Amino acid sequence: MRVILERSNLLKSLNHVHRVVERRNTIPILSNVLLNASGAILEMKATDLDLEVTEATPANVERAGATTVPAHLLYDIVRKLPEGAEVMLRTDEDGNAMSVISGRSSFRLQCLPQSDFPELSAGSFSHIFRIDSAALKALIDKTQFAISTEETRYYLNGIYFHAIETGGKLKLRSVATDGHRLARAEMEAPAGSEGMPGIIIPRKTVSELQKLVDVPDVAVATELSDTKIRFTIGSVVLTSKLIDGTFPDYQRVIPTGNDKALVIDRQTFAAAVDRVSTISSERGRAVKLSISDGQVTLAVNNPDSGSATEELAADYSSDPIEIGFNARYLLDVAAQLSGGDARFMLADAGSPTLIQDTADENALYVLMPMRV
Amino acid sequence: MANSGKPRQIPLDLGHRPGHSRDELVVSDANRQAVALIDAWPDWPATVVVLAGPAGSGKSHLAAIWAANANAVFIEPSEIEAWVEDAPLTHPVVIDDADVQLDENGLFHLINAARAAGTHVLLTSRLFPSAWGVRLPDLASRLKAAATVEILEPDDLLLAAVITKLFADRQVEVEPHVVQFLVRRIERSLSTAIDVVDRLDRAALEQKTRITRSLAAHAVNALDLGQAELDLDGGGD
Repeated sequence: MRVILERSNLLKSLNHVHRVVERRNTIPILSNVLLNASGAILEMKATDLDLEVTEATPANVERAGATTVPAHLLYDIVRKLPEGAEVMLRTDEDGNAMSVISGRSSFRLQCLPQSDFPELSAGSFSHIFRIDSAALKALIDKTQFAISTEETRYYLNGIYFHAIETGGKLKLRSVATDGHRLARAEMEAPAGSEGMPGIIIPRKTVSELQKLVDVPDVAVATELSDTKIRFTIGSVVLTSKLIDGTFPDYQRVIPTGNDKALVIDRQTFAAAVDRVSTISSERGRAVKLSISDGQVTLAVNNPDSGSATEELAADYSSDPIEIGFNARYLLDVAAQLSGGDARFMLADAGSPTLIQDTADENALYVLMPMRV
Repeated sequence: MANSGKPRQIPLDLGHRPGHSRDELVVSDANRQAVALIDAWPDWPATVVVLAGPAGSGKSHLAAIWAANANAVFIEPSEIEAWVEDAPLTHPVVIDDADVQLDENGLFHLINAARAAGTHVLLTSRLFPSAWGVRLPDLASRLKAAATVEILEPDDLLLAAVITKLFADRQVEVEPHVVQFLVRRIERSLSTAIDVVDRLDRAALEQKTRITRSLAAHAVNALDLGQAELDLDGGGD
């Protein structure tokens, strides 16, 4: 293989694919990126056996061929080359090493044969549709923070995507929960997503996808079956296994009868929560909200260090209520909201609270209180 | 509710779906006979089969498997009369907890109808039919002719397998040594197993931890304390 291409093209593609490669691998080939030069393109591919990202970039292919080299190493080399440089990638006759040559810099990397590189066979897909990149990004952005990181609860380690008919319209919904809070976002279902199976996209795939769809006005081709999903974003193709589990019946925890409405300026509220929680311990960051006519009092009590309170004006006219929450969860939700005001729909101190975005009716959040 | 005074996160009640398929059935010496009989359908030794066993021993699970296999209908003891009068019996019939609110006449006619139609009746109960206190001699003789299999109190193997299944229903992974710990520590009954698994699942969700042996020890202690409180109240059924 002998190929010459612009550093910026190479860097951009490597940036997309190298993140898939885990820093530590027991299987050596999984540390490598597959390089495949043919025609006028260089294709790069990386995998962790659950997730695979491929990207093709234009290149001057002088001799077609393929090999694999350590992904993070190649990325770091290319990153440190000067801007605007041209890079030549050239394998030895015996294929045991590849040279990376740019200007006066020259590197030799050990190769592993491309025939050893694992293929994530996608099988056939049952549903194919296109989603606008910004809409897909919103579905991810609004829910990602609630994904569980507790590995033994594998069925919560991702975002649940499904199509659902609601109010006479078909919606595509994303839902994530860690058992303490839940986030739900929706958009009008794209044509072709009708009848798609409910799928759980793993956390790592979600976070790679989130970066890849951070480009405006791209129609993301989405293909899925009940075990795999594939996104094509321009020249990048991401293929991933799905989580083999059943997402809980989340509708049952979204309250519909909460009648105590609290409307409060979002940023003022978040800043106050952040301030009073300074005093709380690392564990159990509970903040107590005492809500009465037109006013919320935030209180934190830490037996080891002291206490804090802050009073805020708010729009509230129901019966007074005292309710505790994890301060971090309140801040997380507040950070997701886009409207100037946050609307809390409360029932009592032991029941789920609904939080709505006053500027975005497509998103909602459920927060379980803490017993304080 | 034990409350140490520290703030505690309340978990969302996400629920779970109990698995009632044949694949999810745990077989051990305690229920082997019953499973064999369910699997043997339609080659049954009698028109009526009775599954007798303690609460939580899997009678309803077995009945659900059989009903799916045999395309049988579940009927309530109180509805027997209507079923018998309505039409000739077209489907096999299951009555869960058949001895509760026993309609002796209705059951007698139902069994006759099943015999006439060449189909079967599956009854489940915590007791043997001889202990149901049947007064109608004709029904008593029909039940005497029934094939009755007993599901025993769980042995260690079954209890361990059931606890593993209960965790699997909730999609949580638990190490075998934690299951073994529970088997040794809890009261040997399946209803206790369900209770302790529920508590553990909730506690792990609350604390966002895996289900460890020390968490299991806490749950078992809490369960013991809870039972003590019940005893003091003098309640119980």
